[in-house]
This record gives sequence, C-alpha cells and structure tokens, in this order.
Amino acid sequence: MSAPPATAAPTDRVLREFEAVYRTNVAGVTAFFARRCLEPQLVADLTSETFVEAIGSLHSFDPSRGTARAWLFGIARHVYARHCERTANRHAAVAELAGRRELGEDEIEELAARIDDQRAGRELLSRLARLPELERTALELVELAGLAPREAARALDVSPAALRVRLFRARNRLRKEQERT
Amino acid sequence: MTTFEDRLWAELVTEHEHRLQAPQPPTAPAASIPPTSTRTHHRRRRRPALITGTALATATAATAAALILSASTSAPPAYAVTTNSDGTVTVTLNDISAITGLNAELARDGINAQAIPMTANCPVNAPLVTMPAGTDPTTYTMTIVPSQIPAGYTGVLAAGQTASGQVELLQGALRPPVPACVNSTPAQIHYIDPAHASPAMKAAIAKARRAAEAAGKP
Repeated sequence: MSAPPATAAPTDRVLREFEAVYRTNVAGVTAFFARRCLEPQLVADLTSETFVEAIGSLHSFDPSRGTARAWLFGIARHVYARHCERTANRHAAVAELAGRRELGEDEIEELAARIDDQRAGRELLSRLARLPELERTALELVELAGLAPREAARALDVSPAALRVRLFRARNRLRKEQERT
Repeated sequence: MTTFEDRLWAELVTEHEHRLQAPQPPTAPAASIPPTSTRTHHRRRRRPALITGTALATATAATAAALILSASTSAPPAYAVTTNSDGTVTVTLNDISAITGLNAELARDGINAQAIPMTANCPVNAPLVTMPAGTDPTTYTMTIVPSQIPAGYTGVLAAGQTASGQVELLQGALRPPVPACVNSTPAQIHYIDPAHASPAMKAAIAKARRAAEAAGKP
C-alpha cells in the first residue's frame, strides 16, 4: 500500500489505501478470472464480487499476516468456488442477476482481449485438470500470477512447507504430461 | 488504467463508500471491549463455531488449529450473548441445537436479531442481505452492530452445520416475519447493503425476495 499524505483524515486514508490496493491488483484479479471464464460479463462480475467482498472484510485484513495481493487472491479463489457451486444449482439465475452490472461495448471488447491474452494460462490449467484444485491453483499463482511462494501459501491458507510440496507435485505432473506428448 | 477498471472502481466507491469511509464495525477481540453483561450456557460436547464467508478467507490455519485444540480440552458454552459497552453485541453459537435458547436470550436483552437454522433442504430461499458484520476469526464469534441493521429489518444469524459438524454463522438482515429456516444455497446470499444498493440491484433484490416469499408459502 502506498503511504497516504500525512494530512489525510483517518476515514479518507482507508479509501486511499484501498484504492492503491485496487489499482495495483485489479489486472491480476481480472486475469485470474479470465483464465477461467470465456464470458466478459462473467469475468467482470466475479472481479467486482472479489473487490466487494474485500471491502466487506477490510477490517479483518492484517498486513502482518501477508500481503494485500495474497489476501485478494485468497478471496478470488473463494469467489470462484462459490460461482461454481451457484452454476451447479438451479437457483443460479437469481444471484447472477443481483450481481450484474451492464458492461459497455468498449468494456466488453477490452475484457474479451484480456480473456484472449490468458489463452496460454488457460491451456496450462487444462493440462493440470486432473490435479487437485489446490495444486493447480498453487502452480497458477506462482507461475502465472507472479506471487512469491510465501504469498501463494497465504492466499491458499496453507503453510509455506505444504505449498512447496504442492508445487513440486504440480510441476512433476506437468513434466510427465509434456514427456508424453 | 483501463475503462473497465476505472468504471469498476467508480462503482465500488459509489456503492460501498460508506464502508470505506465510516469507521469499520468494531472487530477487536472481545477481551478489549469491556463486557457489560455476559451470560453463557453450558451443554454437552461442543464444537468450535466457524464463520463462513469473508472471515473464512482470512482465518489462519494456525488459529483454527488452536481453536480445535482448546475445544477438545474445555467445553465452551452452547451459546453466549455479550452486550458490549459500545452497543455492539457479540454472539457465539457452538451448538446448533441451542438456537432456541440463543433467541430467548436475544429477545430478553431487547436485541433486534434472531438466529435461524440454515439447511440445504429448507424451502425458504430468503435473499439474506448480508451486512458489514463484525467477525472475529480468532474466537469464531460474530458481532452484531445493531445500528447497521436497516430500518424495518431484523438482524438474522443464519446458523448452519458443515458436513464435519462444525457450526457456521452468516449474518444478514431480513424484513419480518423472519422465516423458520433459510436455505443454505450460496446463491441466496447477496453481498449488498440495501440502503446503498443501486436501483437495478434494489429491483433484483426485491424480485428475489418476492420469489422467495412465494416459494416459502405452503
């Protein structure tokens, strides 16, 4: 987080700090969803949901426990898991409707380009499809989202040692897949 | 910065500015808020309560482990209601079968909130509007901030149980009458404070509520 001006009122400071967190991480969070969804509207909704949820849990964010980026990716992962549960459920329509913000044409084009940019990432994820979600996401956060292993451990709520094991397994699996083809 | 990112930021500020500017609901550990009244009720074996949602994302494994450890060595109360000096109310529910007792306690203390069971087969698909809830992942209790409950609404603590038997609490608000139970489908939970929702979102919430009311009628 960037240091706010010393004159900022305490209430204003929260907004400024959150804006800095948003500006730094929104592209990474959007890319995270662009690797999973091909619909611009859905990528927009899930990105929005992640930040709304981040605002809601801002008071429980503790910088001493990990970076803001790790915290946000942890939320993004939960948002995506919930989305999957929702779509598997017959009540999906109601929730999707409630969270929807109509995108402009320019935004749709922009998000479509980002979805296209993540083609390689999507391919990597699909090659790891048979791995447990935790191992797949661990490799994704470190290799594609650029998180430090410690941050990825924080985002996935596992110990750094456990993360190393997951990464090792995921990389092994990827190597074997490559040898086979 | 791109169009999408700028517009999303503008939307976040418009709809959630109150949460980014107003002092956040008190979330200090219960120990730092001097309780003015605490009543606890002991029952048989207890499990640690777990708060779902955003708190889950930030709760550490170490904290959870510490809690499970403490739960196995000493039996926590089935439920506890603590009115704090700042007007907030800290609620703990460790035993799903203690909802009736918890509600009696809340009513006795004049708190505009009720706990209801949250189950997968409950026919009521209430669009629970979640509020900025004070949650404390270190003790797995939930803090009700009565001033945050919108006028005409009753605070609702939806209490569910995970497959492993842990109690999970979700805080929200509903217009009375509060249903006897609520469906645990995540689709029914809306992360919007109705007082600050956009007209389109208000319409969507109203539509969902009407559908839920129609579905809830026998």
